[in-house]
Amino acid sequence: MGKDNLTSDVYEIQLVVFKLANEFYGIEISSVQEIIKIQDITRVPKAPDFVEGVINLRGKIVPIVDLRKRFELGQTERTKDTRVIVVETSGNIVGFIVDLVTEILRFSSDSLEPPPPIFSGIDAEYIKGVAKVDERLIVLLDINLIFKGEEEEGLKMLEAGK
Amino acid sequence: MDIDVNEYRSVFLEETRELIDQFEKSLLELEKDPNNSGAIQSLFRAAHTIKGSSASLGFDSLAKFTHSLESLMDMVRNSKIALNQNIINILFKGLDYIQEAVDDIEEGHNGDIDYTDLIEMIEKAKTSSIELSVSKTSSKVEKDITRSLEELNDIETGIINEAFIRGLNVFVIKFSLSQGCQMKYPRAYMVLKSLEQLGEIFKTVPSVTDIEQEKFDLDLVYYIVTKSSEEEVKNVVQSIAEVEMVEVMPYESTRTEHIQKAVQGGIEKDEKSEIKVKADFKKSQTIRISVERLDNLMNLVGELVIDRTRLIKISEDVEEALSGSESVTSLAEVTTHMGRTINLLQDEILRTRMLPVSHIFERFPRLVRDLSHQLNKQIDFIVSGEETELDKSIIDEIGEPLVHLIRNSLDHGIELPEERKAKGKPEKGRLKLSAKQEEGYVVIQIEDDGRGLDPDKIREKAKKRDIVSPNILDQMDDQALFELLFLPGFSTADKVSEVSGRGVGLDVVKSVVERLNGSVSLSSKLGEYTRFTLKFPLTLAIIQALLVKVGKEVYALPLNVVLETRFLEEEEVKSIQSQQVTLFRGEVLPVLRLADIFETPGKENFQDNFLVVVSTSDKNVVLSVSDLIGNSEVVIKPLGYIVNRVKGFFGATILGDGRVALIVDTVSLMSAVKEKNFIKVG
Repeated sequence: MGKDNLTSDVYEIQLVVFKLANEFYGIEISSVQEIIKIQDITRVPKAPDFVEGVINLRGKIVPIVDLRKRFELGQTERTKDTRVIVVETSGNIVGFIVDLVTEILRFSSDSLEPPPPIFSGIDAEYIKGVAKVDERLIVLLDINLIFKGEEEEGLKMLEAGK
Repeated sequence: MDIDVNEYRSVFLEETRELIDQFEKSLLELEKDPNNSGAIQSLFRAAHTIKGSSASLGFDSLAKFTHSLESLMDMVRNSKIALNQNIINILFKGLDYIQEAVDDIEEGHNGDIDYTDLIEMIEKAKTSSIELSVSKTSSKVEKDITRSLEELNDIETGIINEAFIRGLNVFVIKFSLSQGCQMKYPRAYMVLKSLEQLGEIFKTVPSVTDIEQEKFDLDLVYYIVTKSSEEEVKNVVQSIAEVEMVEVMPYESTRTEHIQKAVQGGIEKDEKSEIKVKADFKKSQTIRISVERLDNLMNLVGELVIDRTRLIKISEDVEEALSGSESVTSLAEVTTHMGRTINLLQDEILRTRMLPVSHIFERFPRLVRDLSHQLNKQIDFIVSGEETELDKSIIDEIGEPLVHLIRNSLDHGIELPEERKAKGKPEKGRLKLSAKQEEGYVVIQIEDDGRGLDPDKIREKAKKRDIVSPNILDQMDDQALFELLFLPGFSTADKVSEVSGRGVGLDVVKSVVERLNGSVSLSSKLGEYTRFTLKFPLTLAIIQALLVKVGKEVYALPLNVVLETRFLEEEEVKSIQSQQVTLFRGEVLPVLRLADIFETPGKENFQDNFLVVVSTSDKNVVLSVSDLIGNSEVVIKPLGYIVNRVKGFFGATILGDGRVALIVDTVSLMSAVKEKNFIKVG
């Protein structure tokens, strides 16, 4: 994924950087399909709390997840900056609601540091690493893991944590 | 010649399976009518081709075995031995062996199974009838000598008559192999094979067996029934190497006489071989496409269907805003035309995914035969409408339910011959399996003229099982009682004959059928008949749905589960133990507010105006909704990741305005509702 090899170990990473609450997060660009404005979302009764519903993306039904809710950072307020980042993870397409998409960043993999054990309430297991760019701390999310937990433990774990 | 076995193996398997089907079909016909010369001809041909192709791929023991079957059939064909039940049984068994060998080959082996016992039986059958053959020998020899080109036997004239009736051509093809031809049989065989692409070769001079043993000089004559022209036939034969002096002549000389004969003989004569000829033509005109590719096409068309709906709406909006303008009118025209084209495209694509139900019906005659022998019952099995087409995904699923229903009918529906006689019915029971298309649905019926269902016994049983409360039970009419048989566990444990044997796993049949968006119903008259009617949509991907409003949200209810809609009148809905109920066809049904089940935001702020009666797996339920929008054709799309595990929906669809509406799956919704103890159902 995005491994433009510079040397054997160090490679370039390209991130889509976005804001949730007051933190900066990044998702590797290779898994991002597109970034769209928020649109009419159809609610799905009985879906997990963080699932806002589904949208019609050029004829495809795409579930929309509020990342703030997913990480228990409250609910995303809808503003003109609110965006949906459509990502593809292991063949599944999901849209993430985020507060604001700031930029696309390139940096070398060796500037990536291992994640701290707890970061703003987000479990370290969803974090691939933390990068320091221009005095900002950017948390690189591992999208596959965000949903892996779902698959295995199911929604129970989540409900228990509430 | 080098043959890469692996490359040809799959072709061989596919072709042989087709031949096995043909073999079985003809054998069943022959059993019914031992004088059916077309059937034995077709049997012989199937065995012959299997023998040839298995030998050429090196499956020697299979080739040897089919050879001995073929020689047995040859004796029958030439009246050297009489066709009796023993021989029919040997042929059935032989068919099973071939099937087994083919399975073995498919698994990567050589088809070397143990044929010895059957080969022994064949030899015995041959010798036991030797006396018959001796007495006939003299006339046989005579016949061979007198057999000139114009001398055709009954079967052959039959084929020709039929061909003329159907407007097909009959050609006599004379050709020679070139001097010094090294491989006479392979060349002759190649000519035969290529001609079979065009039609049916029904006679060769010398006989196929002689050609095989290269018992001929260089000249050959083939007779063909075909749709193709003289020219086309000639070209095909000439295209084969080492073939010279090709002469193709229409078989005209005695044509008028044939027509006369045919008219006298009746047109219905031997329909089956007619179908056979037709099937051969079809073969050369088809290509194989992977199902995946068709699925992709289907998805793309689904997109177009959605766009069409949207475009029509946009066009209407524009027209409203800018009526009178010329370009608006042409926009409307183009939109309408495109909509129509997309409709046609959709139909065509749907059609490519359709298979005739004969794909599943084919195996039933054998099943019925074997079962009826086993049960000592006499069955007249009538199949009709095999050519009716259904979506492949439905075809793939309905085999088992049908087997189930057929078994039921044979086992418990149709009585033993003595019992039938005592009742004044014909000893032979009748089982009818039919398929037909009806207004966007395919209807499959299975009907027997057996015992029928006894409503009183069902009522008794339902009481014992405590399935429905006794006072409701007493009010139920026969039809409602029959419906009980589809309930899970209605009569699985007991000896089934108690309720005329129905009910075994009928719940399973029902759930499979409903999963395919179909429905199943049952009607019966005691002592007369039982009939199951299965109804399927032509395709799975697009369904008819009732769009309803729950507050501001729109949901789609598949029309096949909607029994009735009505305006909600307060006095009709009563409250029993805090559960809302209403009467529907004499039955007390719970009324559920969809807004409650779906926890619709603001549900306190709107009222429900309509009731929708829907069927679920075990009981009908009434849903209350705020509004009805109407019926619409909707394309089912899978709900994405995570959401697809939410119970109560089997997908979503895109509405004309581009919004998404969820398609309600009443069965899983009700089970989810029950699990959560939302309400008590029933």
